[in-house]
Amino acid sequence: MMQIDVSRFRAAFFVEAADHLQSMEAALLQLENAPRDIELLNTIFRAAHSIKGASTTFGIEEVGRFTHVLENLLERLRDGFLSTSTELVELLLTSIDVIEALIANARDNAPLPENLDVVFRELQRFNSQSSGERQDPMVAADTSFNSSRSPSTSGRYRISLHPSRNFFAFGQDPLLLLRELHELGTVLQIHVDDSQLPPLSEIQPEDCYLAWTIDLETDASEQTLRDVFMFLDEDSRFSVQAASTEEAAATTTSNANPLSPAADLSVSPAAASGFDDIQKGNDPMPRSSSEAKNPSKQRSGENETVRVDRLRLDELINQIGELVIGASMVEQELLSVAAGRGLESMSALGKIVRDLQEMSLGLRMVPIDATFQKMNRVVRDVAKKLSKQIQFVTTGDDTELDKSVVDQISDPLVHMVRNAADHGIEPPEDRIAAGKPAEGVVSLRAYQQGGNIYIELKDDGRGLNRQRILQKGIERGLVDADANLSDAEICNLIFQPGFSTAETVTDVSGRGVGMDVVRRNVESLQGSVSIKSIEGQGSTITVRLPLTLAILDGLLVRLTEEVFVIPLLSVIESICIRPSDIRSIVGVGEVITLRGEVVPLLRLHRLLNIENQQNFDEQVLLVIVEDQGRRLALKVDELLGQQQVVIKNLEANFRKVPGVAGATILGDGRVALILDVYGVSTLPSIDSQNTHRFKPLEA
Amino acid sequence: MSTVLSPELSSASTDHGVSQFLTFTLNDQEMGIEILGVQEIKNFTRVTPIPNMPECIKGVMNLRGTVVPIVDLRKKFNMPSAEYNQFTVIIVVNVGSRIMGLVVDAVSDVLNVAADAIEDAPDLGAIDTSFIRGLAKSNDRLVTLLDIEHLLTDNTATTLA
Repeated sequence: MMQIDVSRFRAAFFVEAADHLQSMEAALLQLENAPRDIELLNTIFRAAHSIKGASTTFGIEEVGRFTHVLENLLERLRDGFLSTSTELVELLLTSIDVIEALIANARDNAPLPENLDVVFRELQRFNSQSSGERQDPMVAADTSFNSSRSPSTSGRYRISLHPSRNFFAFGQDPLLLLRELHELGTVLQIHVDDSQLPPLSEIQPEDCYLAWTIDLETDASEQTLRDVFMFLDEDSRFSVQAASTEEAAATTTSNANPLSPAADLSVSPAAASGFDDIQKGNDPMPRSSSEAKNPSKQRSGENETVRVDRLRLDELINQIGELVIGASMVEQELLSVAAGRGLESMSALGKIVRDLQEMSLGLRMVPIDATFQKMNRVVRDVAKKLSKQIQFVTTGDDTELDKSVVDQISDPLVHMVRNAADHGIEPPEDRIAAGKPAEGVVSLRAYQQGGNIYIELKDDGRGLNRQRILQKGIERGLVDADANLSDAEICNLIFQPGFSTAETVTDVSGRGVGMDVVRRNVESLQGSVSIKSIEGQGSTITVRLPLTLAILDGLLVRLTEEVFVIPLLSVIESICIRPSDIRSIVGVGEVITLRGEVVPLLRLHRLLNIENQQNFDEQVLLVIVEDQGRRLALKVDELLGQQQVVIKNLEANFRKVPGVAGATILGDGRVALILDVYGVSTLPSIDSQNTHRFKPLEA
Repeated sequence: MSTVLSPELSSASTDHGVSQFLTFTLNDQEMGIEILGVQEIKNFTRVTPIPNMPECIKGVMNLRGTVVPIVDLRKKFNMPSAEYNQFTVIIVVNVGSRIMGLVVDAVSDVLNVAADAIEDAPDLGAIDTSFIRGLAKSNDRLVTLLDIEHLLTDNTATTLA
């Protein structure tokens, strides 16, 4: 059975495990504030159980073994043998990290987590603490993660399983359940009840008619056995009954419904294994008291999603893009022959096609909530480590962004949030001394405005110390000592490489990788980042990101015969000047004066090596662009208009071209290149007489 | 799951180690590339030039939504350039995971060449011939068989005398 290509499923497991870990983490963080929320505990427990089950299936035993112990602990927590404490939550959070590392180990041969043994022992300590005289045999004997488990007192159970008719339709397989039981212990006897089996002529091949009774000898607790069945659909029934009463007494204390020897063999799962099972079949979304944002909401979303290979998705979007072009070509041809009703139908079709394109681009959009949730943990960890009190608030969690943007913004965001919590928020005593509440607030807000998504990170901490930044900037040679900088310019110095304002390099941040990396990352996503700060009152960092990397608002310009696209984001304005307004700067370049500001002029023809036919114009058409805080004037021949273009990269079939950010396909099917405004300014000019290479802001 | 194609499944190498080559002319010389790498043949259409590229890179073309670079093989071999006419075609080839287009004077036919009928590329001294897979003699024709992967990924071949 396992001869099929397991690696594919393994890949799916890794993705799924990451999801589970994420929902565990989210629930744990909420648990801190609502220690008795049984739903949260159930969510955590289910996630752990899923990881355990799947990892065992795929032979990732380290994960299975570790999660098993974790699961035991969670079980005690859920059953009230243990109460939630900060210490415990801390341990559980660390456990998540360990599982993550173990999974990384299985996937990429990453090194095993260093704290594996420590955490493992710690989990066991909690386990034994909570159980008093009762000890899970599997746990009691182990003191180190790597020691093998020793058998202990084993119990005998009679387990019966009555799958529902449409058991298979729910994606279940009794064989898997039986195997799982088999792995837990020794099957003494198994009986198949085929009394429901109809004559062959009436058999529905997709229905399940059989039922089983298994006598099992096992070290596992009754709860463990029940957990095997935790994903049964609601019409299926099972029961687990201890065969010998004295052993039952020793092993089933955790069970909410102690079974008497005379108990009915068939109990519905809801009645048998407690509250969590009641909702399973009919209500995938566990109800929760907190309405604002809870992981359970997300869970229900997950149940309705389909995982699609990104390549396939891109292909689909590509093809639809082609369809748009094709349709507009047909439309233009119909226009030229004035096809009357044909034209009418065509414009109706054109609308559908455009809607389709919009929808297809929407397929790549995902809410940012998962990323925000991660930040929750970051803030918490920093606060714990530095004994600060920080409240973390998020708004606009459901704001949608292109998947690839979300993936790439995560790291810079972690960095910023960590900075805000570490450098921004003061220790409680300082805050009180400054007349502020002891608890600081770090908030993240996402919202859409126009074609952009804004992520705003706000803290009510000490704010930026202008004097210190300036001083440091001078020390590092970033600014001249006598430079007269505006407040905004001073603030933006922190985005310069190698800038870290913390007086002491803490364990949390300040390792020399600073906001410059954040800026570079954001800019590589065609976004921008800026900071506002009031000393003593806090800072606000605003990150602007494009909605998607797949399309771009562009200004179409003509250079001789070629059409180029300039990203509209960087376009400030376009102006017409007389050739005499261009000033030459001692053979190194040309500049124009724009409202008192000197702006370098770039002749795109020269930089891009395009023949220029319009040398003796009376007017020079310039597009003023801004890139990384600098203005540049690009000379073009004609403005053709503004258009949304689908970005195609050149690297896919070719290679990166300096000065070119990518390509796109115009309405007439032609390929147009998208200019990389920053890159183009660093290109050597073809005209060697007039070489003007602009030094990039930071080389 | 099997990696070795059985003879019946492979269209290019038939029973006796015979490979098929698409032949084309370039400056009156006959050349061939293995047909398995050929995706399609297109009439020459307008390409968008890419700035600051070697001369042999004509530019990029839209191939049903994919941006495909176009290489002028005449330029690649430093041959005199020719007017593009109605015979000029673009052979779209797959090189690894990339798609590229080759501009040639005209396509001729498909040539079946037995493996033992391919002679090694002659040693031309200082001139790099690593992009030549061999020479195929068929009747009185002499066809230069190109190793397209080598040709398009190895930059030294650009400067062929």
